[in-house]
Amino acid sequence: MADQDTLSIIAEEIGSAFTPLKDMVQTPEAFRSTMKELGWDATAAIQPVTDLVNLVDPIITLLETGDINFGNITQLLGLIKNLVTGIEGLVSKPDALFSGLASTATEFKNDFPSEIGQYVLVEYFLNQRPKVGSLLQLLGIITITSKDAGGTRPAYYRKEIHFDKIGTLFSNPLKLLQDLYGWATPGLDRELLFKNLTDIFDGFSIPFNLTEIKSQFLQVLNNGLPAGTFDKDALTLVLIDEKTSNVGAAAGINFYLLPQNGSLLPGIAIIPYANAEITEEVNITDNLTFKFDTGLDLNNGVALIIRPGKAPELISNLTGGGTSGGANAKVSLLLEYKKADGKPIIVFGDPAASHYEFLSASIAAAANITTAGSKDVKLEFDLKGSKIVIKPAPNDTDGFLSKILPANGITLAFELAFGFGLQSGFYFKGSSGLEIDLPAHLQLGPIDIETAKLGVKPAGGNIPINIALDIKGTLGPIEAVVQGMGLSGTFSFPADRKGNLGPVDFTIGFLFPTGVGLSIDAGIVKGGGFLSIDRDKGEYAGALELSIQDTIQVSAIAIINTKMPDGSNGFSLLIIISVQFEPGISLGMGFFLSGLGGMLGINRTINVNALRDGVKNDAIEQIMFPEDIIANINTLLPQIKAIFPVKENQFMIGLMAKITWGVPTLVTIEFGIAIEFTSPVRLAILGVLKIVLPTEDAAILQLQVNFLGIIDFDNGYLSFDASIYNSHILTFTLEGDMALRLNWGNEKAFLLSVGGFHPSFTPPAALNVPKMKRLTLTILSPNPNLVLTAYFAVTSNTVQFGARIDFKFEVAGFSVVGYLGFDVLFQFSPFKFIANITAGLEVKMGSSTLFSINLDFELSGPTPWNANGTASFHILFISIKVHFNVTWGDAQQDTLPSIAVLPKILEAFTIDANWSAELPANRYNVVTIAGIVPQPGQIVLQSFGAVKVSQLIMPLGLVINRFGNNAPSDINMADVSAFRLGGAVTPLSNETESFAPSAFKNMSDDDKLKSPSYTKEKGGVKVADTATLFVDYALDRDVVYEVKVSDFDPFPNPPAFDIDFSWFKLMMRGGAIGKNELSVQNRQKSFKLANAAVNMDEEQFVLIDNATLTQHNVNVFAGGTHAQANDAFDTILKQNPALKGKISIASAYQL
Amino acid sequence: MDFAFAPGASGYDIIMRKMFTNRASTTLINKRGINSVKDFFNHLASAGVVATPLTDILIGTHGNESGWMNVQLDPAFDAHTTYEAMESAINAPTRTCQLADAIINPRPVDSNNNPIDPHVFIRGCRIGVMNPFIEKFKEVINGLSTTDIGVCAPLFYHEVYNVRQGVFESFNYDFHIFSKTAVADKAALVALFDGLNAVDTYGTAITTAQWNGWIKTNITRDADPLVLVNLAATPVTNLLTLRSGFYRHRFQTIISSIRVDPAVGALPTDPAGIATFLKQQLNNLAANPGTNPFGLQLQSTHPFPLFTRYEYASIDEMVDGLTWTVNTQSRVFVGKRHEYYVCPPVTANNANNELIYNFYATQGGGATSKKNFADDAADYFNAV
Repeated sequence: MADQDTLSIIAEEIGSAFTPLKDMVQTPEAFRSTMKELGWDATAAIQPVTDLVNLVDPIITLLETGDINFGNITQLLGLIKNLVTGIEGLVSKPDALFSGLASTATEFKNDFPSEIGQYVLVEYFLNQRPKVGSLLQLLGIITITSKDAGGTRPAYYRKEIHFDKIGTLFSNPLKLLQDLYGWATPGLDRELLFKNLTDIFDGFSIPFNLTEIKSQFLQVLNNGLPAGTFDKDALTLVLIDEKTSNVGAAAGINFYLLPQNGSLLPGIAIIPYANAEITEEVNITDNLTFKFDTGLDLNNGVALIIRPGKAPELISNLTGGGTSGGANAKVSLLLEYKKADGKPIIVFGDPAASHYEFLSASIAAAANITTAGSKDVKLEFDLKGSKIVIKPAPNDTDGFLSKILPANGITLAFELAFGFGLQSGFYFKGSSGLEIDLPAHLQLGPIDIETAKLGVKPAGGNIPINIALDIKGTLGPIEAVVQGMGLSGTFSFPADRKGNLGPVDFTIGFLFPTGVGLSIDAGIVKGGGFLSIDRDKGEYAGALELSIQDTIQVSAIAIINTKMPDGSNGFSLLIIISVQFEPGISLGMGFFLSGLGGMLGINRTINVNALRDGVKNDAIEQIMFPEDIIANINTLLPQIKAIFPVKENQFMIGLMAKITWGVPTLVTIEFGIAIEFTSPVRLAILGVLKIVLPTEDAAILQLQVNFLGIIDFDNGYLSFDASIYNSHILTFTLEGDMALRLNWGNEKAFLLSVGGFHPSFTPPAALNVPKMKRLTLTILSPNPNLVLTAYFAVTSNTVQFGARIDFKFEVAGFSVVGYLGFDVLFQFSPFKFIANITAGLEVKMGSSTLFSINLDFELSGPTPWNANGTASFHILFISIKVHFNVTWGDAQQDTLPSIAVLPKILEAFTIDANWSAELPANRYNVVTIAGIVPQPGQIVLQSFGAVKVSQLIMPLGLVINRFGNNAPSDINMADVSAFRLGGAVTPLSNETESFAPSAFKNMSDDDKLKSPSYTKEKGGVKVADTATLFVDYALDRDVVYEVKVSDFDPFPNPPAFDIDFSWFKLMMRGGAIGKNELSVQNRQKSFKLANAAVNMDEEQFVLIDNATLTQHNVNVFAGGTHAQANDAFDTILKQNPALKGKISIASAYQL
Repeated sequence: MDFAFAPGASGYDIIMRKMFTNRASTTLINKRGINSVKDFFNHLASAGVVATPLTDILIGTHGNESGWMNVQLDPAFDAHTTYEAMESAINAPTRTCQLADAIINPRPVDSNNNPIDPHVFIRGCRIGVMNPFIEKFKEVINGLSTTDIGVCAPLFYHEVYNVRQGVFESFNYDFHIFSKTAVADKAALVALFDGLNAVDTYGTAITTAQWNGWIKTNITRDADPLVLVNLAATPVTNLLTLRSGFYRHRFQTIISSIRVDPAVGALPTDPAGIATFLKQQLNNLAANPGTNPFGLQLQSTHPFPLFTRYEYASIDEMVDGLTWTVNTQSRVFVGKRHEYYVCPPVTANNANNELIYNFYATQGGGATSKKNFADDAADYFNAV
């Protein structure tokens, strides 16, 4: 903390580092001894090595006699470079000069230059800078390893410095511990770990000792282990020594190594202690304060247990047997260094000139382990009130700094805190990783440096350190902002230890800006643009917004990616452009075309879910006709990237229009149509409808509906979502969602909802219906509060609707709460409904209910009508509750009209469209035969093909109770028992189709809600792929060959160079074979698992025994669709009525 | 057979264990669960451990001249071996840490068939300087044995130097200046050391030139090692010199906390006021210590008073010798001093700059052990 000039400090450090070299060449004996330490037996001085003194001496002389300043620093660096060059140059010296060695000259020249450099550095750090040196040793960056005698070299201790581990220290610190100390192995090296820890304590002059810890502690920490198999002592860091305190105050930290215990690997217990004389804050010295904060009793023993592979555990009350965790299991210890007078501490430099200072430095260890889930243990260093001041010395009036800097210089103030957490790794405080924003706010003429970002991002063994500035400049009407421009210095550690700084290689480069912004306000033209550059991700995004004479507004956003999401090289482009006119182009009848736009995506797709979110959060309006792009760029770009993500071989094109009605504008509709292809092919219609009455500024009615329609041709579905956004009538806010789903692909389904669903109904997951907001009208808010909600939904099985009104009023501690609501499930044929009705009124004082009346009942009908429910009444301490179940009206026998089913299904099997010829699985039609047009009643079958017949009239092999809204009058089951082709019976396989269960089975209302809209049932059959086909007649085709004569050499000489197979594979993709359907499918199977990682089979249902919850007689019914299970259930009960109530249907997943 | 014990965790302790392992006719006790002197003695008393007659006992531990050994005597009393811990060991209802007859006897005999006196040889920095301390240690370990057991401890800093071929053991002088304020610069510090009129172990005065050579320009920065010394008749081929000794500066906390009761009223904050106040407070405490251990140590009648341990003649001198700071919120006074140590190696009484050393060769390392001074050499050890 001396107030020394920075350069003097650097010079002194350099001088210290070279002391061992100077000592080495002091005398021939010293030389031989140092060589011995380095593992070389020398019988005489080695001239090329001793000559190094000629390179060391000028450095020492300059450092001892000269005043290091900007004038001679270059000279000093030159001398150091000469020395490094001299050491490296040993390799080129004649072998004869190394005759004083027991080893060969070649061996010596190969190894010695790198060894001497490391020796000098290790000696410097361990002896001259023990604080740093011991820390580097603890982290395994400095190692001293024992080398046995071998070859011509004697045994010695090899001193090495592993700069390459610095990167690992940040990226995977636990690996360093594992390599060095055997952490996460049964052989944790206690002696080495404790030795390196004591070196650190010693380096910082902190007392320590090995102390036997209390037997009760040992018992808890070594739970179940017999005595003699564990250590009794801990390494104790003594913060306050009770021996030199008049009140016996004592505080410190014990480090106890836990032995392996069963499957638990060895770990460490950290046991802080502080006796009763220690308050939460103790001044250890005038500048040093010890603070601790915990709700636990340190006197009774608290241990933080850290074992590899286990979450940290905090055990308190060690004397009482130990209590693990707890809601308040938190301990933090802090050592803070600050001057008693509150003045800053000058780390280096001159307080009156350039210097670095801070107000306080602290090191804090905190364990926060709670039952709520926190399991983190952190060690954090905090430098508060840090300032880097760059200013000329008071007497320096002609210097460079005084010319370029303002009179008061530049002050960069920041808070610097960094730490390491078991869960969070290394981090800068207030930042997600090793990156920190330093607010600068430096004004240098027209340039304003707003922030400086310091980042350390170790990767691949290198340590890049970036300093990136956000700079703003103004020039007339133009204002420019440059983000993230600066310098990047990278430390790397070449394996041959021949970097430009000895074993370290340091390169410095320009850090390209991450963003450039420009705005202009030139009267006629206003606007701006922004370019975002992320070179690491290969992403370049730009936005432009111009307003010309307040008449035409142009907006454009473009994103280019040169890297695919998987990191491979590629290209992707997205452009969204819109132009808005004021006034618009008249279209007649009061309509105006007020805007046009377009979008283009190359290797981009539409993320439907993100787009649906955009309907709810209004992002789609921002995408189509964005406003104030530059100001909103930080939210806009992520939204666009989420909605239109990168996807290879997918393209998108769209048009947008903005149409308004009325002057001033009363109705606005912005809509866009986008189509994407190649797989899937989808059409998206998105839009925003706005109605404002009478004017936007004083709107009585403001209604905005955002909507999105998607038609997916490949997967066979249509969806439509709409959301009311930012709307109100008078003062009543209005909101709600709408969804329509129609699937005609594999999973057939239909659903329409406005405001959501019946509370008991869960939409099928395959329909991807987001959580829907009820249609809501808020009449009064916030107090009194009156809200109306409603919904209406139609599915393939049900019709649902409901409404609710809620009221609340609070005054002077009293409140009145009331509600009335109903949910209805509707069936049309025969007409039936079930309504759940709930109503209530409460008067409360605070949280106490003074009076309440509640009604909750279910009404079903018509005839007989049934009301079943509960009414309750409560006043003060009196409560009355009444249950009722009332039925009235004559029971009505609903009879479905009958219908003959057999003719219908027979007819279905005669329809040509239900017959088809198919290729078997895994077979491909590699030859297309042209010119064969099947006549009505015919199908053309490949010789290796398959025949399929399937219908949607009714499920086959299933007992049906109903046929739509009719009762079957002739049959209740149909099936295909045989298939004759060419007169021969052919083996069959079933073909499934989607059938709505409620159309064929009598279902309870509850079952209708729970059952899927459609289930896969047998709809037809197919001739088995392996069957031999016999047909009545066949078509012969003559094979005609087209002869082409090629003058190419069919057996060319081998190419002059070998094409690497990986190149061949790459090129093959673009060729005919690569584009072949087979290849495409093969690639999809091989590489696109991510898109279809899990294939869900149709849900299977089984019968279970209620008593044991195991499958009931698997031989009778092994499992099938819900409808098949129903059939089996009915059949079994008919055969054995005693099973009624003892078996039931359950999903096979529940077994 | 000698039995040795060096249980510490530091690098010095690890080298001591190696040294004892290399030492001829010596068994190092290095077992899990044997952490204190009490454990060590109890282990020696276990059946079968001392199979052949025990000659001497060696204990290696950090230490200093203020009456402190890093090794734990008995975990029941203190984290270290202190004067108070030793008093507790003696005064405990059941005395501990005594060497039993069964360990000591029968005595081995020398070539003249005379019994060899048993010793506990302590290796650790300057533990032998404070006579009351090693006297008390002797009192602790004697008691159960009918044979007098001597104690020897170094008068100098004990230095060990580890090479693959073995361990060198040597000594460093202790020349020091304790000052309540920081010494201005090298010249001032050299003048202060000159004023000590220090002599080496042969009575030769240390010259100003020597001080100037040992003390670096930056007097707040440690220098370790300090000088180059020669190894006469080196036991290790081609190892002809060692770098040894050290210079050290510490702004050392001597009194970690004196907390004053709020009833005393406002606390002084100026140096003169603090000194007057603390002298009064500490002298009052020494006069009426009750059972307060700190107060008892302040008494001049204490066999080893606290101020003596820090080289002061009285409470007043100690208060005047320290820089005091006060935190008026926590009402705690802290006493510190600047300590400047110049500790060159003890060399032979000739002009050859030859280190006085013993060498303990590692078996199979290609070197042989060399003993240049005995374990009780009066020049280097205080024996009681």
